[in-house]
Amino acid sequence: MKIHTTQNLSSPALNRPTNIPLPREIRYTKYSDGMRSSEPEIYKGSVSFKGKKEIVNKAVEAGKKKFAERVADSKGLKKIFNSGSFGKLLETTSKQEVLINSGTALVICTTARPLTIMALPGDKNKKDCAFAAAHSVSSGVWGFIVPLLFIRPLATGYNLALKEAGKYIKDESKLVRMWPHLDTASIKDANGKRLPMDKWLDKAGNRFIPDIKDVHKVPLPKHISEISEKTLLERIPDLDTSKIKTLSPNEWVTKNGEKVKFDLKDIFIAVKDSESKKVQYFPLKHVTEDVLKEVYPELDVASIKAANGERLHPDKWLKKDGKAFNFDNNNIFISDWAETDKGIILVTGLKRKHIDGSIKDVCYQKNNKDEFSLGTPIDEEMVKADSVNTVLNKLGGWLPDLVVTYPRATATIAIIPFILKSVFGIEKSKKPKEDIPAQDAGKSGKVVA
Amino acid sequence: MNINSINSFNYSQNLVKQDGTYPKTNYGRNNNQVSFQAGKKPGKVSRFFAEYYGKHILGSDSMRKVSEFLAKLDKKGDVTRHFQTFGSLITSSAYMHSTLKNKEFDKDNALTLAVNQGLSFILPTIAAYTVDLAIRDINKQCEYAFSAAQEKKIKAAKLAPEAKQVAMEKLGKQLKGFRTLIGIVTFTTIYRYVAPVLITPIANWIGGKINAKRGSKPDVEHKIADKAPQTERAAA
Repeated sequence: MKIHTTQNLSSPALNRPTNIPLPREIRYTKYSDGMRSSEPEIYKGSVSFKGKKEIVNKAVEAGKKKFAERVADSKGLKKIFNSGSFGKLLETTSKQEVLINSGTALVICTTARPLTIMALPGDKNKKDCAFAAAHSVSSGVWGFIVPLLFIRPLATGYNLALKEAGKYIKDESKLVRMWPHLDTASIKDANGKRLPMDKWLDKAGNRFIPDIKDVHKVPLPKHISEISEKTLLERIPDLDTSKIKTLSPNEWVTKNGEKVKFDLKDIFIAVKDSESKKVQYFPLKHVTEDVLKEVYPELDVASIKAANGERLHPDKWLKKDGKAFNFDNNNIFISDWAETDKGIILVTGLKRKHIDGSIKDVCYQKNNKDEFSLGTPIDEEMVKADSVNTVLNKLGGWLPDLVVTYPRATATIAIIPFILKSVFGIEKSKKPKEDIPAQDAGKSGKVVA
Repeated sequence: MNINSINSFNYSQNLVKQDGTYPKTNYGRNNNQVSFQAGKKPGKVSRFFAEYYGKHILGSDSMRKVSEFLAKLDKKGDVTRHFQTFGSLITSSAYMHSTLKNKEFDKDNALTLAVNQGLSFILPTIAAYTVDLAIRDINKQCEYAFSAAQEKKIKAAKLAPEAKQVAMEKLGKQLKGFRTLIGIVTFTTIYRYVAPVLITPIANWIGGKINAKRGSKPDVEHKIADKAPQTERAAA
């Protein structure tokens, strides 16, 4: 059974009573269930609501930026984030952690450390400083060569096996163990032959995404009154812009004098917790009925969907007394990259029970069929599998490195002083018998070697 | 058209020139490009290791169990940090073992030096985890900022759905790398630079204190005191 496909909020999954576990363990609770706040996690979307939920009908005041936000917002970092080489470095890091680790050590050991040693001689003579600097450089180089030659190919091999798991893992149960959302019926053609992984589907019927927690994010929504004319005109081409600065959004009209009507897919609402003052944004097209019931108590939620289950435009919504709902355009927030430099994880109010007992927002994978639909919801089972996958994938690269760490360190102790002396003629000024193994590696751990 | 059909070309686009809609943003400079090259075809060496290494690790029941165990221990997904620390522990153990079996040192002296080497692992490790925890929020905010900048570029590039999919998958990998990279840089900097320069003297001091409590002979203390600065400098 498909849990929840895209934008169909009338799906069985969403209409089930909350006390009955949902298929594939997606659970959601009412907003009033006393959500506990915790640090927002990028993929876990923890719930910040504690008190009563209120709809926001004006621009959300920008709170004072935290120190971390100011750092992230600095021009220098933005320049780095936009550089292509930084993106490549990150991509390489995701595939070759050991190599990047030893590469970082290489940079430090061949630049900062020897420079510091030479600049701060202390009570040492020049010969000892030169030895220490040369030892630093050689340990950095030696520590990079081993991963480059021996660990990198193994990590690459592991990554390839992972990327083409459909080819390398024949046992379907092992595939499901890694990816519980995988629809195993979709991985074979009519003749039973395995299809390429980009042809696979998940149980929700969406394109299969092996990176489970690659979540759908959207631009931070801004209140309608803060949106630029250009963005507004993209949505309402015949908007009469002459009075939008002076009139309430409820009074905005087109050039023909008709009341402005925003498309349902363009509308976000902002919901504020009366106690914590935190604000969450939901797309009106997908926000759960539980949230709507709480923020619009007079709304008849039965009136918000058509016979086919599709959500109707709020113009057609009714109150419980049967009268027109009259959606307040002041409630409209618009999400557009032209208006912000910040992104948020897309949530709809659907909840799941986390392994630690806490209630989390359900996030969605990036396999949405179009910009305004939802991808596969990430349930608890998927989250658990992903955390194991993450460790295993890292272990695929680190395991061979950890195996060779001890012999590599031993070789470092024996080889480096010998090479420095015999090849470069660099040695400590002390008598050889007082030499001790360089502490170097002791501190650096991974390091030297 | 499937994804593979666009693997072979590399697309880049200057957003401002093409789009021209975001003059107020900070992303309209020369670097403002989005590229999505899906990667080279794997070579024979990669295939070999995929067949004889990757496949077996990926499908191994015991490796899965180990990973499940480690995943339970590490709720934050920072397992890279722990691997770095574990590698450091092994390396320090190698050095301690080497010191203890070195016949050139007398027993007391070797033990004190080994304790010093052990402390040279423990103190930087505490420092590394402390710093990592302290900058966690900055790391997260930077990741958000990077993610938003890239998504913004991808959106503005108005890519075809298949190309957008490749670009988004690439971004997913980059975000994973982002989380890992900060930890690697933090731990490696502390282990490889801060520890030798700042922490070794502390470890030497503690080692000396331990030695003094053990009632070392004066000549041994003298030797250790003589070695401490050397050790520090050599490490630095």
